[in-house]
Amino acid sequence: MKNTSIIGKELTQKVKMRKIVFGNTEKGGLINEIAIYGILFGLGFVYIYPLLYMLSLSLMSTSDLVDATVTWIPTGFSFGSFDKAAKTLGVIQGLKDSVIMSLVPALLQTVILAFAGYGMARFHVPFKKFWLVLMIVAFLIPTQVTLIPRFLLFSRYQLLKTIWPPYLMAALGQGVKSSIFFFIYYQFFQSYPKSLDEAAQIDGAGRVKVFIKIAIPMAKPAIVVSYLFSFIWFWNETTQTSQLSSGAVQTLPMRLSDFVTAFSKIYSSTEISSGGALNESIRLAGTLITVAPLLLLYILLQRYFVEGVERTGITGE
Amino acid sequence: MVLGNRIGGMQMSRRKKPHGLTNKHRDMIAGSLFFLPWVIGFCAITLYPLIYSIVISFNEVSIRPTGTVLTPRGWRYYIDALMVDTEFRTLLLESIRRILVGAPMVVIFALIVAMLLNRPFKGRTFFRVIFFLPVVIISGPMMDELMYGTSAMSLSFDFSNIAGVIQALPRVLLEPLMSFMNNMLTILWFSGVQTQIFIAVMQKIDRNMYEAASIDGATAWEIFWRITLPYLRPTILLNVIYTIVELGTFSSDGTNVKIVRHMVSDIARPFSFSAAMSWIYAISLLFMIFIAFLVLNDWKEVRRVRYEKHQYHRQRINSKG
Repeated sequence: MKNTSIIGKELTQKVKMRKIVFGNTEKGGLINEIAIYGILFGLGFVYIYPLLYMLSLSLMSTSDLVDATVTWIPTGFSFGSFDKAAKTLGVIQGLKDSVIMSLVPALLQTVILAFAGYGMARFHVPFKKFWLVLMIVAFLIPTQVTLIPRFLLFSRYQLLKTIWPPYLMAALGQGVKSSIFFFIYYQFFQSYPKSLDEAAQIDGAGRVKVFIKIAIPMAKPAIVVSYLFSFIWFWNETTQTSQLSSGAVQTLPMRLSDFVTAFSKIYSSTEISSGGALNESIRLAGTLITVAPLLLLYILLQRYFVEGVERTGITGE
Repeated sequence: MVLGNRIGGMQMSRRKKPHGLTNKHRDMIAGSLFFLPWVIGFCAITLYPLIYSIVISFNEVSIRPTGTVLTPRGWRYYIDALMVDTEFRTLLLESIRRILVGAPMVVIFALIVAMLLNRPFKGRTFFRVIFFLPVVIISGPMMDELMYGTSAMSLSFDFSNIAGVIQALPRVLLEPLMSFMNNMLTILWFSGVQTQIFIAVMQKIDRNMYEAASIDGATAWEIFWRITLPYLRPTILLNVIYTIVELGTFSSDGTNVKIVRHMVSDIARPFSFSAAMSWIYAISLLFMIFIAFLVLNDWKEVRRVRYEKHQYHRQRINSKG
């Protein structure tokens, strides 16, 4: 009697253990869990490996760079590369230009497409289907096709080499990936109860007032996502900005693409010959400097970036 | 009290109605006005340039003090791009190959990562942040520098182990394979947005469906192929198109670099040659999107909807008759 109960206990324990390790149909076991964590860590590591490599290399001194025994961790942290890279880039002015070219255009784009999305979702606009198709077409047209005529167009109005072309395009809803933001708003305003608007309208509020007082505060998640994505995409846009606005501004990514020339201009040949030549460490330090503001923004606001896509329900069609 | 106010308000608004417009008409006007800025922008900054771009690809452009003069040149610039300029042909094929290989890879990778992340577990947010990170920092010059700076890396990193294993392979095969892997590491960086879109859609799949399937004895593998994948089909199409556009318009793409390079500085044929090249590339991209649409669109669903509509109309006609 006693014996069997012990065996029974052992058995149940064994079953329990097995359950924990292998899991059952509903819940994956320990092995499953470990495997998934393993895969995730592996993939994640490979994924951001270039970034880690960039960080490691940019902190190396010239001697570390040459030394074959130093592969990952520099012997001592040397910020010399960052110093040189910052000087080459002209960080302060670059940062200013980048902010000018992304803060305001992103705002213009966010506002104008909120209007467009709301108008389309809430009211009966004539030829609705046609406009929606055009919106998709606008997204599908590769930007390089419109770049050349836009260049001619803006040059005709003497707007080349000023900050205005990107501003104008953003203000008229033709900025970087505008259509995506239209659809974010469109989906959002379609999915929220119209009775709220109607109630306010019955109370005598005009349509613009309803939009500003009711729809906008409700659409905060959509607005935040649109603004953040507009911001980073304007920040990282270089083709149009450098063709239409270079001369007036030189954003950080634009400066990065001229890094090698700028370096040879600043550092004279005598300096270079005495071991101060441009090396990978300096170039990667420059790259890291240009993405640092974005990384900082991302770390601070990662919640909005990552959850935003989900919360606005961008996924409809 | 509140009700009374509302009724009062309604009467007020009815009284205030100007010009005898009905509410429906006023809605239409309001909606159109809200949407109008975009239409103006589209016509002026997108549609007009689009048409003008076709025009200048067939005409020689010379900018004089009196204005722009166009001289018809027929298909010359297209012939130049496709037949004469060998560099363009090489770059174009390279870009197309990169997209044909890259787009499916990006989307499949995004799908795998989304599947892994679409369950509650410790550290989920951390991994989501990691896999979304490149979206925030990716830009043309940044990728160029990274490719340059890390070109030494991929050979010293774990690929060398793989290379060690497949040392037996002849060098002719090995080198393209290595460069392929080197490219792929960075091409996967284009998967951030797609991953988030997949996760967002997956969260909407009804849990009960999975439960019912597993009670009926379906394995996880079967559930994936029979439930998850069909449900995700429209999303896969969306993501493939997004990826093609993203890769095709990326500023450090070789073809795009060439188009921009020839734009102003090609003194013999300013703008026109670039316009012709840009159209060739654009048509290739649109063709790839079209193919993706043909392959991935759910035609069964389209047929079903069409059939239902047809039935509905017949019923109405019958009931009338």
